[in-house]
Amino acid sequence: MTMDITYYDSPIDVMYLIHNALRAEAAGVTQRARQLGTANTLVAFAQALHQWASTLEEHARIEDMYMTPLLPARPVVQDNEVEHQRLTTLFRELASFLQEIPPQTSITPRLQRQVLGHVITLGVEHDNHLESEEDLVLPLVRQRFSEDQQCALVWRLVCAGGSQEAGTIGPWITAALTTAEQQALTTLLARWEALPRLASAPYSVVLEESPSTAPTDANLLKPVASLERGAMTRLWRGDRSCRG
Amino acid sequence: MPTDIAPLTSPIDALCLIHNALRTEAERAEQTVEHLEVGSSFKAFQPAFYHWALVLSTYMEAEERALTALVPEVAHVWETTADTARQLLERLEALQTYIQTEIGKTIVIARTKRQLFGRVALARLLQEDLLEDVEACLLPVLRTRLSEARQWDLLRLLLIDQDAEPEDTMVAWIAPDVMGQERRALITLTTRLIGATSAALFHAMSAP
Repeated sequence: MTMDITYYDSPIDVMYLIHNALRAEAAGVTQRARQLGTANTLVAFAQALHQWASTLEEHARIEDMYMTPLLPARPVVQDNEVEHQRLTTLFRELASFLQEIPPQTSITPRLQRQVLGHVITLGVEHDNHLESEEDLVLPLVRQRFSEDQQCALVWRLVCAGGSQEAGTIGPWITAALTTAEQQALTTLLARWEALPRLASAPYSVVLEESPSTAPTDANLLKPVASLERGAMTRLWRGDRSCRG
Repeated sequence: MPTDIAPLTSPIDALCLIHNALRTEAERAEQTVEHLEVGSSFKAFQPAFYHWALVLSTYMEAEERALTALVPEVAHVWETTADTARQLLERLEALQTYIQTEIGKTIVIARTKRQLFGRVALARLLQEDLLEDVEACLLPVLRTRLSEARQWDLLRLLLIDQDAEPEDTMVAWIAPDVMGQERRALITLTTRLIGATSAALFHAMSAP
């Protein structure tokens, strides 16, 4: 996977690396689907699929809860949420398909093709979505979010699948990134003081310098987290003058 | 005239030569999409796709027509695959429309390349369903219930179009994708089907 980060000047640019990790998850599941054979059962594949689905679902949930409500009510922002729902639907369809197959069923070539067909459809929509978000939504985040708000969002996204309390990078991210991408992630995370110290175990992506006045995630997000999502949406959509 | 068609055990097994050629065509189309460079045009993909679509659609139509005309007693077996064949034709038509109306004259961007790859890959998977059905359900019936003479009649309809130019026949289309022993078998079959060596046809079948 190549590094292709267009921007380096905002905390939200960490999103490119998170997306690269998601793309690697998708590619891994697609590869597994291609290699399914009669000697396999679906158990290992289902686990890999579940990992991808749950990772993406958590990522989307954080975006829908902490990012989208703070953005203007533009079609691209609404489309972003719709795409999250569409991906959830596709994952559920594949999960339902797999659940109907007895666990020890031998994988026939036709069954393998059916699974692969689902995964290809998912992969195309998944990558389309990530690209749309990068092209259309991240510029809005860069424009509308303060640096602290971006850091708070990044903190949540990077810790997804890890532990926010312990400040741990989701292990799936480091596992999915190349060495160069891990280094880029470390560099980007170290760049903003508003990002609390992040650690990753067993992978070592620890910031060398601990920000002396790093606000906690809870403090940064307090105004957001204390409101219901609908309330946030109404608040921001009803007061556009505040956002310039 | 050579008569050895090994590794085929019956003349009708030549269907597998068409099938394997179709598999190669589909794989080539998919790989062509994979190799498209962002910023280039989709022109490189079009010949690969149109050739695959031509061979596949001609094969499906010829098979249905030949079975109905020559071996109506097994035509019901073809009906078991007819749904898949219909879906596949629809998918090819949709792909053709997509190429002609949406991406044909545009430059390749990551999104359209992905979309195209997905469509081609899904068509390839469906084609494999069809070929598998024919090999598992239809071919054994034809092999056991048709005399060798009737198998040759059927093959003639599938491989040779008497009204077409030699280079516009199924055998010429699939020849570049058939290698080794199977290629020798195909030449043997074709020689027998056309009764004598056709220079133009064998020129079309010359080794790729």
